[in-house]
This record gives sequence, C-alpha cells and structure tokens, in this order.
Amino acid sequence: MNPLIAPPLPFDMKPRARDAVRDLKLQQFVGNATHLKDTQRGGIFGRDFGHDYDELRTVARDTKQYALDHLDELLERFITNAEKSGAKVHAATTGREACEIALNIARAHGAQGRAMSCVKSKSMVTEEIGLLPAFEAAGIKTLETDLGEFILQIDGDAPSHIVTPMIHKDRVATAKSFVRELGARYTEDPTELTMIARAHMRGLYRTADLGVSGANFLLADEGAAVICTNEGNFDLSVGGPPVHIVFVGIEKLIRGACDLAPFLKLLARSGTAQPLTVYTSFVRGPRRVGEHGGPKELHFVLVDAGRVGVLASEKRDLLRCIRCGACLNACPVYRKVGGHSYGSMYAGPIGAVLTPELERAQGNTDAGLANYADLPRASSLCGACYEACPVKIDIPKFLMHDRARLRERGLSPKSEGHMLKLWRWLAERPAMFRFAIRAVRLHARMLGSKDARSGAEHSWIKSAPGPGAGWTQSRDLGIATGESFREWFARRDNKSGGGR
Amino acid sequence: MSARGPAIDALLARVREAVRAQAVTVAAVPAHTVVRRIARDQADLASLFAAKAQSVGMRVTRVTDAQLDATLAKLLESRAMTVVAMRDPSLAARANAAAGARLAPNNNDDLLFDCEVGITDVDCAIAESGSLVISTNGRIRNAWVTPPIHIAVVRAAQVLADLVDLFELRPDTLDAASTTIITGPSKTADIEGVLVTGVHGPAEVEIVLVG
Amino acid sequence: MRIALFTTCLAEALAPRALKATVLVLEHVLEHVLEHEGVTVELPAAQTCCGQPMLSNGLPADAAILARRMCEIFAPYNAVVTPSGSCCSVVREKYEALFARGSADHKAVVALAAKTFELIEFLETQLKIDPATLRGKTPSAAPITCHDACHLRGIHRHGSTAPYLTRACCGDVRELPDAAQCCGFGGMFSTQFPEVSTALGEEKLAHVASTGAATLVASDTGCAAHLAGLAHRKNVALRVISPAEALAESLGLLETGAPNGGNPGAPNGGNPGAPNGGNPGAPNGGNPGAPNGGKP
Repeated sequence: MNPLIAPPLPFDMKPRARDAVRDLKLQQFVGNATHLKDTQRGGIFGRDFGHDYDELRTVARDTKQYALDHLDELLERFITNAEKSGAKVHAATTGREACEIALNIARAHGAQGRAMSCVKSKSMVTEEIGLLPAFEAAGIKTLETDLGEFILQIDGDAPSHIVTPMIHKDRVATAKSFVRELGARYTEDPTELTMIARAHMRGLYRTADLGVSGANFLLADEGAAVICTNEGNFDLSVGGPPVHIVFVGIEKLIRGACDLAPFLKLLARSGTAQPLTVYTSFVRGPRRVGEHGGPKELHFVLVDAGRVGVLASEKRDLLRCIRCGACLNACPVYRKVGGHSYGSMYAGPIGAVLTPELERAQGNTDAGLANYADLPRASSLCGACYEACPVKIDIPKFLMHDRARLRERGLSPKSEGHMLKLWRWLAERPAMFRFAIRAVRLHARMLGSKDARSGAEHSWIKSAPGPGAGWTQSRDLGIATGESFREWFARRDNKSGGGR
Repeated sequence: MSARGPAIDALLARVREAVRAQAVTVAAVPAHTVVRRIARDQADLASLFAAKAQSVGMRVTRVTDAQLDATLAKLLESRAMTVVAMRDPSLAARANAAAGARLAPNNNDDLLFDCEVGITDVDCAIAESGSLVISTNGRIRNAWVTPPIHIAVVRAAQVLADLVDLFELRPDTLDAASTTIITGPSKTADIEGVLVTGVHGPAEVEIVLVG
Repeated sequence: MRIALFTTCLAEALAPRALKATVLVLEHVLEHVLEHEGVTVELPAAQTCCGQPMLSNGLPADAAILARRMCEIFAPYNAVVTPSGSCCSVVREKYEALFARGSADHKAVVALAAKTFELIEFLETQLKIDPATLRGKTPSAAPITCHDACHLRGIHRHGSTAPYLTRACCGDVRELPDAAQCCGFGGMFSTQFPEVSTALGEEKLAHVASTGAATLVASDTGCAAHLAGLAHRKNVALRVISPAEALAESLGLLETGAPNGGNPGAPNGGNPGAPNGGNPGAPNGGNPGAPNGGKP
C-alpha cells in the first residue's frame, strides 16, 4: 500500500504537518478548495432548507443511529433480501479476508493464461482493506475509473480527501503524468485532460472481467446498494463486466428506501454543494433474464475491519458518518496540513477519530490509538467539524475522549501530564494558585521586555522553557506585570468603603 | 442459524453482541416532513422540474404531444448512431421513426459505446432536484450513460414533487435490477476544481418535457 | 440579584484590563442604564481555574475536581459572568459530561451552566440591554474588527460580538473576512503543533490587516494572547482587546490604550528559531496594518 496513507507505524504526524504548512502550493490548493466548498455548502443549505437545516440533520442523525442500534436485525434482513434478488453475500472480519474473498471470486472466472482486468469505481473501504495491492499481487490489473483516483493511480500518488481525492494536486502534475504514463500530448487544459482520460478508459470498460465498487448506502428492505457518483463511472463499471463485487462496511446499512431521502439530500449538498450527485444508482441483484447489460453475478462483501468493535464501544456514533467530506472542508487544521498529514485514507477530523479504531478487528482496542497517538491531539477543538456534520457527529467530544485514553495508557508526553496535574493541585489551593500567578508575573517582570500594551503594563517573554517553548518559537508571550486585577479590585473596594 | 455459511453467521453473532453492548438511543425512526421543504406548496411541478433541471446543467425543451415528433427529429438531425431505450412502446415507435436509418439495435450493450445518442423515456422525474429516474425495467442498461448525448422524454404527469415521493409513491421503480436517479450531465471537478462535463457519462442531457 | 465575576486564570495572568473593563461595564449598566440599586459585581476570592486545560488534554477526573469547586464557589450567586468565551463554554457545555446523570454533582453543574454567561451575551440576552443605550458621548470612528472564540459556536453566540459593538458605536466595526475560521490557538494545541497554530494565526492576522483595523476585539483571552503574541513578535502594530474593553473605552470608563507594536527594542519575526508559517521571506517590521499572513 502507498505509504502516504499506510505509513510505517507508529505514525508521527508532526514532520508531515510541518512540511505541509511550508508547502505553498498545498496551502493554496487545499486552502482555496476547502474554503470554497465550505462556503458553497452553507449557501445551498441556506437556500434550500433555511432554518429547517438543523432539523434535517437531526432527522438524519436519528435515522442512522436507529440503524446502528438495530444493526443486527437490518443486516439479517439485508442478507435475506439481497440473496432473494440473486446476489451473493459474503462476510469479512478483516481487510485481508475481504481481499481473499474477492480473489476467490476472480479466480473462479479467470481464463487460463490471460491476465484479468478490473474496472473499479471510487471506494474508501477498498483503500482501507488494500484491495489494489492484493489484486496486483494476484496479477489482476485494476483501473481506477474516478478521474481523480485515476490520476493518483497513474502518478503513484494517494488520495488526500474523502470526496475530492486529488485536492492537493494540480494540472501540471496531471499533464506530466499523462504524457509519461499514457503517451498523451502535453496539455494543461482540464477539459482536454479529462477527455484524454475518458478515451483511455472507454475501451477498458468494454473488456474488463471484473467490476468493483463501494457503496454509499445499503437498503435492508430492498437488499440493494446505493452508489453516488458525479462522473457516471459506477454505472459503466457495473454495466459492462460479467462480475461485479460491492465492498461495503456494515455501517452503511439503513432500513430501506423509506429512510434514504434525508441522507441523499444531505450527502451531496454537504460534500460538493449539489442537490444530489449526478448519478444516484441503485443496484438490486444481477441482470435479470432477458435483460441486456449488467453483471451476471453480483457479490456483496460485508466488511467489518474494526467496525463491530466501534459499534460495541462508546464511539458508536462515528459509524453514522456518510463520508461527505464536509468536516474536512470546514477544518482549519486540515486546511493547513492537507490529507496526507493524517497518514490514513481517512483524513481530517473524522479521520482523526476513525483511523485509530481501524485496528480493532485484530482484537487490540488500543493498538490503533498507540499507532496514531498524534491524531487526537492535532485539533484546536474549534468545533467547525461538528457544525458541518450532516449527521451531527460530535467529533470534538470524541477527540477529547481519545486524549483521555491516550493519557490513561501513558501514550501522551509525561511532562505535560505532570504539569497539568500540578496546575490542578494548585487550582485547588487558591492562595498557592495566586502565589504561582504572582511568581510568573514577577518572573516576567524581571526577564521579559517591556512595552505598553492596551494601557496595561505587559512584559513580553521571547523564549519560554518547557511546554512554553512551542509557544515562543513563533509568538511572544505577553504577561501582565502591572497592578493585578485583584489589587485593583481591592483598592476600589477600600476607596468606596467596601460597601458598594 | 441459516445455511449461509459460517462467516456470515459469525458476523451476525458478533454484530448482535456489539449492538447490545451499548444502550439503544433511538428506538424509532423519526418522521420527517422537513425533508420535503423545497417543493412544498409548489403547484406547478412541471415548471419547477424544468427550472431545477436547467440549474444543474441539463437542457429542457417543453413541447405539446403534437410537437414531440418534430422535436425529436430536430434533435437527432445530423447525429450519428442512436439507441432507443424506451419502455413505452408508442414513444419508442416515435423515437425509432425520428432516428430513422441511424437507429442502433437495442439488444447489444457493447454497441452503446459506438452510439452518439441514447434516447430514453423515464420511470418518473423529481421536481425539487430536477432529476430523471430511469430503471433497467424494459430498457437496455446504460443507454442513458454510455453515449455522449442523452435525450430523455418526460411527460409532465410523471413529475413527482419530492425525492420522498419516489420512495413512497413509486417504490416499484426500485424493483428493477438497476435504477438511476440522474441530476445533470456527467461531471467532474477533480482537476483544480474546474468543472468539466462528459467525463464518463454524457456531456449533454436534453430533456423533452411533454405537456 | 448577585452577580459574580468569573475571572478565569488566563485573564488574571494575561489580561487584567479585560477583567477591569468587565466590572466597569457591568457596574455602568447596572447603575446608569438599569438603575438597579444595590446590585454589585462581586469577586469570589477562592476561584482559580475552571479545568479546561485538564478537560481538553485527557484528564477529565482532574477537570471534575475543579468543576465541583466552581459549583461551590459560585453557588451563592444568581449570575456568573466572564469576558472569556472559551472558559464560558466549558462551564456551559462540557461540565455536564463529567458526571453521571442524576448525581448531585450533575445537578450542580447543570445549575451552574444555566447561570453562566459570556459578557456580551449577558448584556444582550439576560439584562436585555439595547446596545444603543451603551453609546458613549463621543462615539469612536476608529476602525476595529472582531474575532469570536470558536467555542461560542456551541452556545450560538459565534459572530454576535461584532453586531453588538456596531450598535453600541464602539468604532467603525469592519467585517472580518473568513471570520468563522479558528485563529489556531486551541489551548495546548498551540504548543503541540506550533507551526499549524502559527500558520492559522498568521492567516487570521492577514485578514485583520485587510480590514484596515488597528484594533482587534477577541472574545477569548487565549485567542487574544495568541494573536497579540504573534503580532508582537512580528512588530505589527495591532491592539488586541476584549469586547469588555471595547465597550469600556467607548463609554469613557477606560482610556484607549496604545498598540503593542512598533517597539524598537523588540526583535522582529526573522528570529532564526521561528518558522514563519510557510512565509519565510518578509517579517513585517513595524508596518502598521499589514501583518505577514500565512495565506499566500
């Protein structure tokens, strides 16, 4: 797998974040695109739902939470109904198992002595389970058909955003890779580049042995999958090849089409400020007798890969996520560090809380947290993600929750913990606490540089020790060294006889 | 337990246990009138549909039934091979006539890649989002995605107010092997956010709204 | 009615003027606008820290100890008012999750949350003060702009400082571009990810500069310290004050202070130890109104 999204563990986020902040191109691309999408999201919800937007989110939150609270029933119903329509349903506990199931399906169709080919439409879960490397190792040539994913694939790059995977990449890099990998003539025009990709892929749709996709929703009542794309690549991927495999996390289940509308209305508006994605495709079983087009075999691979563990945990809410990407666009930290800084296919706020959970399948609930100890800390807890989330996942709450888990398991810096404990100890002792503040002020008065700020006397510390060093590497620390507030308050009280 | 195989039974057992590990917080799916906000109180659904369809980049021509044949003939004028994928036999006959000698057989999905135009009717349309709903029931699959131009014939009476109505009033639509809700021409903005149409599906969607 | 000032430890150390201003504004409103006899602003002496640093950094049990203290200290009062938006939000939104529903502690923190307010919110929603009645004798025309603490989002007060100060004629209140984005402070995040924190702060300062305002009103002490510290390091002439100070200055209760920048003794942003948020070229020594933003 690509080390950008599957790095050596334990993962150290800080060097990547530092590099990203200095990468002017990344700052421009990611900053502009996320600001734009975030603004447009606010615009379309305001126009279409006004003050009802919040209620719409509440409906979606509760509908999805209901599904998770009853996931066993829904899963059973889905399996029954999917099989009724002629699909085959498989279950995989781990990513490796999911890949193995797919390889077995492929082998059953492989012609001797000929390499198999696969057309794939965009899917986060296939990134998660490492399907492409597994296919590659088995000699199955896979084409990513989503334009962004295709460009990343031929350039050896990795997605950095759930919805707009090449948000970090520009037309020049695209143009160069098209010349190098496709033998195309050099052009930087996005329309021309898109048409080159279109022409390249058309022929491959016609000859592929296998189609692969993810799914945005599973409908228990219908035994069907719902797949949302803007390009139409899913419809072509499922329409041509004789076999299609849908990989899907079990948390995608909802009761049925009866509950789907709120999600569809929220998904595309949250992600790309569209009323709906261009194509919302329902797949219900393989091609029927007498039909032309469509797979002769349809497989669903239901993937756990840690989700059952999350379902059982206090983080169940996370499984409500519909992968719209709105929290990434809204997040100030994501805007600055970009997706690859998170070292996972799930970047941004939702990635920071989800990624540490993905290793639960192996039975070690804390392994992921130990491997991604920086992620819960890489947030200013500003709450923009919660505000943007269409299913109201309180991401800051779960970040704080993970920070507590880190601390309990000794995975946070010890010195910081000692300092906080000391702070709390002092805070229980008001006289000592005030003495400590006075000591800091005295220290600042002696060592800081003075100048007037806002009429009060401040001393400016240029270089602080310990945790303060992080502060003073780029900021001065202004400590008030004149009359303290309490001195002032007492002086006034005395003047007015204390009886005001 | 079923005869589904051990892996599925094991998954179901684990999910059952996991569900019980936390308290149920939502016991019933909430009712949702708020979801219908956009088309609420709209009397003229056909006009709302036309406006919304245009706002997502599809072209809409509104005609009477009497004008339909001439409109189709004009749209197909100077076009190359055309596939007709219509469930309504009378509409299909009229589209076949308009396509004339350029008509492709509608039983070979591989040939769709060589067509310039796919003409379809629709199961229904949705006013609030300007969407077309097309199923594989009675139509060659992907005739509305593969050729670079898609022409859809929609009767005004087929326009539903809201997406919710598709699921509540026309659940049969989802009985097909595949159903697609189409809201615009094929789009991408992957390269620097620049909007390009026609990446995989059609760059042009022409809606002929009848009545 | 008994009103208690919730000072916050950060403001006591870094921003005593904001606390003075809060007292002065509240007293002015009580005496001259509402003409309430005998209502004073009290300072509960035993208060220290609300526990936000522990709560945000994985020590909820330690935060709970301080939350209990807060409940006891403020129990005798009808209202608890603070100039610091983030500390306010901790009491209002975060304490509840620290205790089991139905417990005595839980009841106590819910009661404290119900009577705790950020200053502008208290004036607007509790005392119902029409900001027009807070106009000073000679309204200032100096350009200012407002940055609201992100934590005011949760209590639906984000973006409400600027309109209030506009109507109170605290100056020519300019709209801050991209006002919804975090300034990058984030408590200990500012020291754990200093480059990211700094880049966000520089972007905020660039937006402030684009408004032409030389005074920034920030509704949280932490945000204010972060932005003022950045501006000071870069020798940018920018005053960072609290909404309370803006009101107190406008009402003539406090004298308008001097900006922090332009100090000839202060080192500039070219400090070799200090990465400059991806913009290494130009520390912006003493150039008023143009901080060296991180946004290319």
